[in-house]
Amino acid sequence: MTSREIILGKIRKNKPDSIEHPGIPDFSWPGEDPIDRFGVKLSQIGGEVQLVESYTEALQKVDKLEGNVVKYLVSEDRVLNDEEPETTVINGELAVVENAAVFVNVDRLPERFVPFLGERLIVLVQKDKIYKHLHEAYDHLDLNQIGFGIYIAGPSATADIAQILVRGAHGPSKMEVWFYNDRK
Amino acid sequence: MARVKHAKAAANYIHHSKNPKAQHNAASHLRKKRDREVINVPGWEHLRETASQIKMHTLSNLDKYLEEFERKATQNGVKVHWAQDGNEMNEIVYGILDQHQVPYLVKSKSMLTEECHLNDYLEKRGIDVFDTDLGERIVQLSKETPSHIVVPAMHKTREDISELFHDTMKTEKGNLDAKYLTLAARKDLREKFMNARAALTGVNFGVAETGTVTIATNEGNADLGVNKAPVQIHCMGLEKMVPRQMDLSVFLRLLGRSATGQSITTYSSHYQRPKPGGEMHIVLVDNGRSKHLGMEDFWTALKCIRCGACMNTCPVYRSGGGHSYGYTVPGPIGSIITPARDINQYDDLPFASSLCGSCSDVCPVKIDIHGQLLKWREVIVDHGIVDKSKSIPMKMGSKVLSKPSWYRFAGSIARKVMKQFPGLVSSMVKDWTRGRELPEVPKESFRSWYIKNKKKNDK
Ligand code: SF4
Repeated sequence: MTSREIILGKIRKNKPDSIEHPGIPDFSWPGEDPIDRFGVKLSQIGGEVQLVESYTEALQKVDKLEGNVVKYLVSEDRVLNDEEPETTVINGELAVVENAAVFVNVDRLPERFVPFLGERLIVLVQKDKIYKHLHEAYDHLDLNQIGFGIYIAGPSATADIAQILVRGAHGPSKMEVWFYNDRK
Repeated sequence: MARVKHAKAAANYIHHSKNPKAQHNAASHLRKKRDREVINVPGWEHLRETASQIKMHTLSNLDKYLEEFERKATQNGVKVHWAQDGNEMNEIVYGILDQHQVPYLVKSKSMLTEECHLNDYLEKRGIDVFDTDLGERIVQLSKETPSHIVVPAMHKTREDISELFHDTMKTEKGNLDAKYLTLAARKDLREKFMNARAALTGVNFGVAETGTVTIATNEGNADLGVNKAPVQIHCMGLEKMVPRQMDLSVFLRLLGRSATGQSITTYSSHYQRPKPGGEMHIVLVDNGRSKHLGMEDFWTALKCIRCGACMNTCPVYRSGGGHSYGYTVPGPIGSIITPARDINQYDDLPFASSLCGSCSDVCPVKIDIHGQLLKWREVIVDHGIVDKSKSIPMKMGSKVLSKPSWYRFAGSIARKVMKQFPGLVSSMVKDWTRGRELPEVPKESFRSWYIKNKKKNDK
């Protein structure tokens, strides 16, 4: 017998009588002004929100950023250089109010390690793709269609030395979410 | 090497370690952060109850979900392996690395691989392992084991770490700046990350419906490693399964909040498929879990999502330190898991508790931890495993406690004896009085005081 069969056999023999799945209740979350609440939450964990009118305006703003900037926003943006960028700009799928997380579909990036390199990470999210909590957010995702997807909430952090918070442990030390009104 | 029993190891930590308060302070700090965060979540108790039921549902259908998970992951191009114990897991991982002729492995925090001693196994066969989580790296460099499942170097002070980094990474002597030290470790590991050919992580949740491996971290080390290296390996205990992607919403809301008071960890990754041109392996590890599932009174301990909240709140853990348990998972949950794995080795751990119940109060998946601790004590005493100094007084105690008149009589005698011969009593309970004073003996019992005062009040 293979290990697989032995393990499954033991589980079948030992498992308790089937218990029902409870379903996911309809949890509430304070609803008013989600972008504002998201911003407060993000600032508490060391990030920052910016508001821009349109996607076009966001792109223009990105072009004005100084230093070594790499962006993966429209399909032409596929260059990768060797050195670590100062700023990395990517698209996000959605944002979550309760924890200031944004979901990034990493399949849209040329390499999977892109969100973890650089000093400062900027994620662009459409303003109406904001959901109050994770239950609502997962309702708008389909992991079956995604190879690698990730929630990112704030900059990389550690408090492993005497509980003192340090940002930029292995990933970026700054994180911004830019909300834009529409795709134009 | 024989394991040192908890009472002795804890005493040693309290009386002979350099900073016995370090662990206590750090754990209390996390407990407070948890409370401040949790209070703002509407329906928190309902969320815990839901999580508990989802886990019970999953565990009671575990074979079905594991098969679904395997099927889905395989369809996604992932290679799924099954390991009956730690040794088989180590063999599988080594086999993959050997096949690719990998010189070293970057690993992010994984309690399962600690449990199975993977580092040792690989290093003996010539493959270096770099733990990349900062806390885990600290304990690796100091040749210790984690003292906490979420904060592995919790027992260490800034001074300890500064000295360690000076010795191992040539950082400036006496520099205590946490940022300086953290960035030194970042720099030291950077080159390893960038050139790694294989990376390994633990798993927080496996999703049957989508074949997803979910990993929650703060530093970015797990994702940087996994995504830089062509070969990614995820080692996962069987009990990590959840049925559907929507179930993740419940657990990710609970995990970070319970662990460190964060609404969510910085990174929550969902891996479904290998990277283009890369390889992805998942090793499903039993190592005693399927046996544990068959223990009627104890199987619900497998609901645990390893948040560490029960440790942070536990007075015994905080005083005696994480190492005193002598097992990878310490604290209240460790004390109910270990006897299920090996009752002869760990028969002392269910006694390493004051049964205050705080662990059960904070547990995000509502494991009745203190109830199980008590049950394990019964099992251990019934099987005569417990040492005589604990079992005989305990048996006498339960006889006396079961008969009110005996109890009253015993109490009146004890009050007299303790007054006349305090030294004698202290020496009878000397293990208990080490580090504590016996309380002053009251003149009368609570019962007679109550009856008297009740009469007064009734008047
Ligand atoms: S038993 Fe509960 S509180 Fe303790 S680590 Fe597991 S999930 Fe967290």
